Amino acid sequence: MSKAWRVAVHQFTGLVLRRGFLLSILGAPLVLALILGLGYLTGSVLRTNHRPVGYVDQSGLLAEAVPAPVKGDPSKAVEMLPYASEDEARADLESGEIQAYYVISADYEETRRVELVYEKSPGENARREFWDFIQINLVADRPPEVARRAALGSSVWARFPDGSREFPPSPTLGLFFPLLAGFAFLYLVFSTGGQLMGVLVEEKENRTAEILVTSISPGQLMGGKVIGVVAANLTMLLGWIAIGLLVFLIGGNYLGISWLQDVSVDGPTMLKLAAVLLPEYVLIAALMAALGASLVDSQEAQQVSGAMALPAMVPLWLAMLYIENPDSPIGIILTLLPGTAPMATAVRTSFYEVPTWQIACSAVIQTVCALGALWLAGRAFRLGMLRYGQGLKLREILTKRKTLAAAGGANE
Amino acid sequence: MHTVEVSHVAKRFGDTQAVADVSLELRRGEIFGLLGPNGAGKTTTIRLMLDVFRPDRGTVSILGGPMTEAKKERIGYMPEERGLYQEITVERCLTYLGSLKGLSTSEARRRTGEWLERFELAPHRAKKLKDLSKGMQQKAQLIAALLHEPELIIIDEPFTSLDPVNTQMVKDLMEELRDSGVSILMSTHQMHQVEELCDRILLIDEGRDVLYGRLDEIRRSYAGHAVLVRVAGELPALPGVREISPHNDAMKLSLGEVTTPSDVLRELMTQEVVIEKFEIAMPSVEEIFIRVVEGEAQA
Repeated sequence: MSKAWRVAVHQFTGLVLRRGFLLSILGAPLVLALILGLGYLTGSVLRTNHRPVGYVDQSGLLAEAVPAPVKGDPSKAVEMLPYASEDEARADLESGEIQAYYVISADYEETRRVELVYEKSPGENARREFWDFIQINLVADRPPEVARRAALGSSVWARFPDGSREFPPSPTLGLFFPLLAGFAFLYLVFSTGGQLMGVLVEEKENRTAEILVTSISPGQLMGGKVIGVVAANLTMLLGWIAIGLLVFLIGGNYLGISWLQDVSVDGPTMLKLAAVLLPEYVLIAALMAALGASLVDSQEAQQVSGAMALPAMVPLWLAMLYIENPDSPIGIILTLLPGTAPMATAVRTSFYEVPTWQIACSAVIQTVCALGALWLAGRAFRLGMLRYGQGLKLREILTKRKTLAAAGGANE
Repeated sequence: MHTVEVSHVAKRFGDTQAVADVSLELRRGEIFGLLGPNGAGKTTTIRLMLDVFRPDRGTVSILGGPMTEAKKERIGYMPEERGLYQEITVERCLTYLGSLKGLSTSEARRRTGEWLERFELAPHRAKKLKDLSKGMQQKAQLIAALLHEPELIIIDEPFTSLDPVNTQMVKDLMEELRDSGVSILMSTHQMHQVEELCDRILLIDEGRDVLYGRLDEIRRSYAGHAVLVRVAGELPALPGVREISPHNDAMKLSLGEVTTPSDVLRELMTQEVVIEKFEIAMPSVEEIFIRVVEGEAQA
């Protein structure tokens, strides 16, 4: 087994066997699932009541009532019961036969006045279904297909003129995969970079670095660390994907949450995104490693790590300036700039086709910067790891003579 | 071929000349003392030997040539800046460091177990390093340097934080390793340990070697014109002795210019004095150290 592999295994197991790792795997999706679950529970379950709803029609509108088209499960449709008088309806309300009743006023055609009587607020499904019932009966004199269409309400599909992208009336999760991938990437890259930086700073703090550099080459050491940390974070990502699939499966198939039902991924869009995200991943990880070798302690590392995340968030703050216009210069600049490129690309590809030349330019820029960052990380590691209690400046890394002076001078 | 050959190395860090001109040879199966006041260039010399830094001038040959990745597995190093992973268990830490020295994981684990037994750390194998005392951490650090059975051990202040029992154990171990052919370079400020353990020494000051050679020869060369004598009863008056002063369990007799130690011994025997101890007064390494370093400073 090569030494780099041993370092990778040590790093991987060190991270994965920590209690915090399991919490990280389960924590974020669980919180998300909890929010979704609570939303579903409060929105759909707690505010749902399938008991019949009564109505007292004083206007004659519902004299020959036409039932509303059933939109969901027919067995869960709320029955609409007619009452000749309010007294009868009230009696049934008090006995619990119905959850509420509506009184449609005699001058409904002029005033559209309807009273709702209840002891406990009726389910939102019951209210919705009653209004569908009214709606269908208001247009009952129209041809049946018109009446049915009117009862279904508005349904707007947004399509690009070239047909490259369309948004259904109820957007599904699949449409926002680029955006989700962007967020997942950000978390992953800063988690990886932060851990890499933490590991290096820790080895400086606990003075292990000198033993390591006399046991293994810096290249093997850094390579092993990067592999180990990336593998640990990819394990976390896989955990999230598994939990996500479970959420889709349960939410989409069993709970019937419509926006969880379409999880199709647009392959070309995701490939474009990957062309920018992958070199950016290397870039940020290498920069974090360089900082880890240059900084003095873990507290400083955490502060710097936080500051490093700020450029990545800029495209979100400025999203309103470019989200509606594919040719917005701000959007293009943010797509090309290292640091802002991942989120800007993710946001833009979620809403429109980003021209291939922009993606290609961005990928080249990120790759060149990533190579530069790797070089920087190598130098910073070699020069900074034996420098205890004193930071390493960028100028020192770039200027060979001064850097070497600082590296040794601190310890002699 | 010597285990280490350092020839006229120099290293400058900016405006600081950390090492100006240092040469040494470390032979197979010897304990070599690298001595010098703080900031003399000891750590830099060691790092130059280990290829952590490249010299500006001079050459280093280690285990028969320049440092290679393979040679790192034949060297054990305990640096001045102590350091082990604090958040993992003793056993895991040592096994990992052993595996980086070329041992298979199972072999590293087996040897870790043996060394932990020997250093009486076995009951603490599952503890995190941060939970061990300083002395225990020092022993774990030593194990990390010895686990892979190196041919060359470079060890900086090996006795720091150790109690007398453990100090003796480490000394015995170092002698045992020397006898088995291991070369040991030891850097320390504990001069009495140097006297007890080292075969040869190099004293460096301000980045230059100022004293180099066999310890007994150096001491002899710095010996004053005096003898240490302990007799049964009272020491009689002796001709040719300039001054008598107490020295540990004996009396130190400073001799006149023409008087030799043999003259004193003959006189004592003539006077039928019961002699319990008679030896040429040799300066301690500490005395030599101070004399050389202060002499350098004055020069």
